[in-house]
Formats: sequence, structure tokens, C-alpha cells
Amino acid sequence: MRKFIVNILLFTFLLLVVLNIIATILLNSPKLLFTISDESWLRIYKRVISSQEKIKSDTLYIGDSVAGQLFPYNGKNQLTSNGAVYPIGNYILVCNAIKNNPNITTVIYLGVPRVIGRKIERTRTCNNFIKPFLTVDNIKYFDSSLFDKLNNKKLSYLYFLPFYRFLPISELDFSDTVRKSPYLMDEFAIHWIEKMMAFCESNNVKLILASPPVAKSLRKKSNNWSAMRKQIKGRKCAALFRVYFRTINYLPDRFLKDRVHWKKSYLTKHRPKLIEHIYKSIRGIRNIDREGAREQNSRFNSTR
Amino acid sequence: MLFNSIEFAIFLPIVFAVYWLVANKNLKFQNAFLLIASYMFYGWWDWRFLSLIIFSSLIDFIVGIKLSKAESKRKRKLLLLTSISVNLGFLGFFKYFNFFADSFANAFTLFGTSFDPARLSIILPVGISFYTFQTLSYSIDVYRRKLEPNNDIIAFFAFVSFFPQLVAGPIERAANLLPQFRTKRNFDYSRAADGMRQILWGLFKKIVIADNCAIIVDDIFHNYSQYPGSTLLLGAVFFSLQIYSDFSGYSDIAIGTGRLFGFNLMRNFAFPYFSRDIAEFWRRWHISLSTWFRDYLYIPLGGSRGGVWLTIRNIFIIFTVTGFWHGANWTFIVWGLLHALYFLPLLLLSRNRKYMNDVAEGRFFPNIREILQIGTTFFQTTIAFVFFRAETIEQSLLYLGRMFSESLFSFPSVLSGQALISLTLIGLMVMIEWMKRDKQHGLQFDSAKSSKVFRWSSYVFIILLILLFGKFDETEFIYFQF
Repeated sequence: MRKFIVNILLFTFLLLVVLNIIATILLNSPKLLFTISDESWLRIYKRVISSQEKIKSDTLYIGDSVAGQLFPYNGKNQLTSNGAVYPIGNYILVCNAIKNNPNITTVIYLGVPRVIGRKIERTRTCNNFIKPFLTVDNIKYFDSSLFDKLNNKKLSYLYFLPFYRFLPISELDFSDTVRKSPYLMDEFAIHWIEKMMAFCESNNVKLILASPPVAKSLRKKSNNWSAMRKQIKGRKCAALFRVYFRTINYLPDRFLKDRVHWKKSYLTKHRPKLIEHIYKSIRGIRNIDREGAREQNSRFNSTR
Repeated sequence: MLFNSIEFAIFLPIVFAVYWLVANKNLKFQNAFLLIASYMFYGWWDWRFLSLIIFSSLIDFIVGIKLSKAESKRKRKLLLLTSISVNLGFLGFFKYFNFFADSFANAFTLFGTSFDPARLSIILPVGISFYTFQTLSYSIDVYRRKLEPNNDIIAFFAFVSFFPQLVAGPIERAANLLPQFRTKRNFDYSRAADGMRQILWGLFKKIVIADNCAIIVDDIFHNYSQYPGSTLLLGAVFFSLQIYSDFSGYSDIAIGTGRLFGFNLMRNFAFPYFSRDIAEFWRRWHISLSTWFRDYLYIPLGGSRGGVWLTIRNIFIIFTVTGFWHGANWTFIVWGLLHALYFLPLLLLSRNRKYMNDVAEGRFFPNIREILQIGTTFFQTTIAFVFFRAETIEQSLLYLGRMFSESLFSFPSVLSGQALISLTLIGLMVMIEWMKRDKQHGLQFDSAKSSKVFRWSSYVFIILLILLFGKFDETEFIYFQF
């Protein structure tokens, strides 16, 4: 009996070592990894890998899936993802990109108001933040605010083991029952936007917070985001948000394909105009590599 | 609780640890603990059906005791009849009531009258066909004085409900399993280690092979009218492999789990697709059921000793009943009848016991003749499995009709992606099982001949395949519905 248990434990240990070695090799061989697997979390992990590579442009675009409709992920300077990456995931992308690319002078973080301030306690958190970002490499970016969240879901620590994210087990459900107004920012989100701001400042990089187009009906529903504006007033990131609210471009709801995203037919026609609106709103803050952006926009339209 | 579920992955180590570390003091503790664990395992589906299994166990326990005391033939027959009536009564009610009601109504339509039969919305208790036959074997063996009746109620109840084989077999004989509940089990390292290997091999067959095949099979059988004959043939082949991997995978997990607790359950599959004829196939496929029917139905009916016509009748009876045991549907009966037709010529020509050894014994590769024989037997079983898989006789006939059309010679339209992955994995399974065809399962090693490094690397490799290609949506085993 003793020999059996010892052998089982020894085998389990060796199995874990082997699985971790294989997982580490895979995580560090993105080409191979993306060839053999198409799991959804890998789509976000692609952004993490891209953020560690060479970026030629001086402007980095990050943000949610609506931002991705205007600045789709291109593996270079447009690392837009989705709302469940949260400011904390985008912070890691920015840190990686700036550290590896001293040529970056501007970061444009785009997110619609209802998404940018979302709380992390959501079902999609595991696949979009935990699996791609919770690695030993990234521990240096984390602080107690994240560990407080992880302590509420202790199983999430298992994702620090490389192989665990590959296991075919149910995702960890991060959601809770506490309701949050969609018209208010979560403190955790504010904290990580402020950290992003501080990091950019210390690296002489300009951070611009901007909004992709928002449905017109929300203007009324949110009372023009009065609660959010009030919440941000007097905070370190207040200046950032003053520009942010200026960039909101309200469009008729009929152009929406769901409650947040825009119809492809509408975007194909009006995308340059929508991007131009964002650039106009932030004019004077920083001269952006507009030519480069335009070139990518036209490439986007031609490939769709 | 499914063998391929997280719940079982937690349940098994806990039960194993408590069984050997806490309940190991004496036989009574061991049996009592196994009984509690088995009822927990079964009650996980629906605790209400525990009452059925308890009642069935109680009846057979009492019948066994009474049989030991009864001397008059009449009384003994009456006791046996009580056990058979209760057990088959439950089985008939839960499994076949609606089938008989519908068939009765359909028969009336032949005479121009129709009526709506009284149908009941009955849930089929999981494993009823398996534990019913197991307890019946006890009553019959005690009646035949082949087995001493059991006086230990805990041991008997634990025997009926032993969780590894409770829901889908192997259908144990009381003569084999019950004595194992009467002696204290001592931990045997090599038996437990081999049990673990067999569990791993069973999981590979179920989660990797069967569940991957299921995706293709479901698609082809649901949309058979849109596919060419070649694809339908591929669908039938995939189903043959799916049902084998699913059921033999379950049996491997059950036998392996039994071995962890110190029990030797009977073998249920002996690499049936390497059979050279149908008779050999039935000696290797669902062995616990075919031998049950042989011993408790075929031989009592006279077997092959009563002349040609009686033999033909008996063969048709046993195969029809085997088909009907699988489910209340005419498709299963036709499946059984088809096998009777395959089997009969071999029996009448006295060639049914021609191949009693392993194929290509002493050689690695089979010869051309053996390859053709194996291929023909597999083809026969595959055709019959179309009836097994289809929902109605009409669907089976349409499927086969379309399969044997000109389009049989076109390129299969689903031969990409999923199908290619499945074919590669199937190839690997077949290769491993071919190499291990003289063993009990695909991962059985001869410790003296293979090094620990090789063995452990093999386990890691199988685990990797399970993690990479396994389907983890906890799909039920096909035989649970029977």
C-alpha cells in the first residue's frame, strides 16, 4: 500500500513536471502553440506576445472590442482586444510594449464608457484575463489589489502553473452577485488606469484615453455619464477622463449590430470619419502617427 | 456519477483511501463501507431508484435463504419464480412497458382500427438491465445448488450494488463475485497498479476515441440523406469503433476500479474486432452478457443438442433476446436477428469453435487470409450496427440503401479535420491493442520485460493524448441507456 501511494505521488509529481515543461515550451513557442490550438484565450495571448515584440510605430492602440472595430488587432501597434481584458490586462500590454519599444511615444487606450470601468468579477474573466495574463513573468506587474481579487477565487492561483491553463476543465467563474451600475467605474478599474498613467508618465509616454462611438440612446440613459464624471472628479486620472468624455461620438442606435458593436456595413463606409472624429477630439494633445494609422485603416477596409 | 466526470475523480481516491486505510480492519467494515460508497455512487443520479435496488437485493437475499431451507421441488420452483418475476417485472415495467403498448397499438392498425395506447412517462433507472441479471444469476445458481446461499446481508447487498460494475457491467456471476465479498481483501500492489493502467486505457478509449467518433457519427446519422454512400460507410465504421471504445472503455474502467479494491471482475471484451468469424466475435464481445444468455437461456433450452431445428430455434431465441435486452426498439431485435443469421451457418457446419486462440499467435503480422477474415467479420458487424444506431428500421434501411448506391465509390465528404484526427487516434489504438492482443487490456505490461521508464513514459503519453484530444463534456456511456 505504501509503495503504491509513493509511486502514485511520484508519478503525479513527474507528470506535473513534464506537463509544465511542455506547457512552458508551448507558451514560449507561439507559432507552434497557435498552430496546434485555437482556444479562445489564445487570441488574447497573441496580444501579450505581440506586446513583447518589436513595434515600429510611435503610437500604440489598445482597447476593447468596439475599439477593435476601428483599430483591429494587427500584431504590431494595434493590440486591441476586448472588455474582459480590463485596464489591468491593458496595463500589462502597455508595460511590455513600452519596455521593448522605446520608440513608442503615445498610447491611445480606447474603450466605451460602459466597458472601460467594468468590474473584474465577471464570467469571462478567466478566459480573457486569467489564462493569458496570470503568469509568473507578469507577477512583477501585479499588486495587492489583484491579489485581493484572486484571494476571493483561490483556485485562480493554479493558473500560475503553466500547464493548468491547458487543462480541459471548466473555467473558473469569477462572477459574483454584487450588482454594479453600468454608469459608474469600478474602483479596481480606476486603480489600474491610474497605474497605467503613472507608468506612461515615468517613461515619457503620453497616455490618451478615448472612446469609440457610443449608441445615442445611452447619452440619455446615462445622463451624459454624469455619475461617472462625478466619480472621477478630483482623482489622479481626472484630466485623462476630461479628454475621454470629449471623444465620445454618439451615433444612432440603428447602426448597432448588437447593443455595443457597430454594423459592418456602416463601418465599411464611415470608419475613416469615425477615426477622424477621435483624432480631432484629441488634437493638440499629441501629434499622432496619423498617416500610419490611415494606411492601416485602408488596409482593414480592403481586407473586409 | 459518470466515470469520466470530475465528481468521480474526487470520489474514487477518497473511497480508495478510506477503504484501505480506515475500513480495512475486518471484512464487515470493508463490505459495509463499499455498500455505502456504492449507494452514494448510484444515488448521485437519482436517490429514489435506490429503493428499487434495495428491494431487488432484499427479495433475492430472502429467496436465497429460503431456497437453502426448502426441500420440495415445488416450493423451490415457486421461490425461483418469485425472484424471476420480481426482477423481470421491474425490468419489463421500466424498460419495455411503452414498447409493448405501442407495438400492441400498431398491431391493431393492421386490422383497420387504431387507438392511442396508454403510455407512461417512465424514467429508466440506470443500470437496471445489468444488476437485474446479476441478482437473477444468484437466485438461479442457488436454485440449481451450484452456489451456497449467502447469509451475510451486507455482503450480499454490496455484491448487488458494487459500484464499479453497477451501471453498465460486466454482468457478474454470483459464483465469481460473491465469494470475493466473503473473504477479506488484502492490498495487492501489482493488482492495484494494473487496475490503474486499465482505468487509464479505458479513459483513453472513452474520452479520446469514442467521444471524438461520436461527433462524426452523430452528424452522419442525423443527416444521412445528404451524404454519399462512401460517407455513410465511414459513418457506420466510425460507429462500430465508437461503440466498442465506449463500452469496452467503460468495462476497462470498471474492471480496473474493481482491482483497486481487491476484486477480480470478469473480462467483458477481448479485442473483438480482431475476430476471424462471428462466432469468435461473440466470444470476445460483451462476454458477460453472451455467456449469461448461454448459461441461463441457451443451454436450458437445449442448446445445440436437440437436432437441427431445435438448434436453429435456440440460436434465433438467444440472439433476439440479446438484441431485445439492449432496448425496447425493433432496431435492436433486427440487430440480434442479423447476428443469428451470421452465426447460424457456422454452427450448422460445426465451424463455430474453429478459432479459439488469438489471431496470428506467435507472429506479429497477420497473414492475408487472416486480414481478409478480420475485415469480413468487421464488415458484417458494421452492417448490423447500422440497425443498432438508427432510430427506426426505416431509417436503417434507407441508410443502408443509400450506402450501397453508386456514391459508395465517391470520396467521403467528411474526410477532413475532425475525421482525420479521429482516424489517426483510432490507428494508434488499434496498433496498441494489436500488440497487446494476448493481454487483458492495451496498457498491460510485463514488468519483467519492460522498464519502468518505458512504462511511465507510456502513461504520460496516454495522459497527454487524453488532455490534448479528449472531449471533456462528460458525455454518457452508450450502454447506460440499456
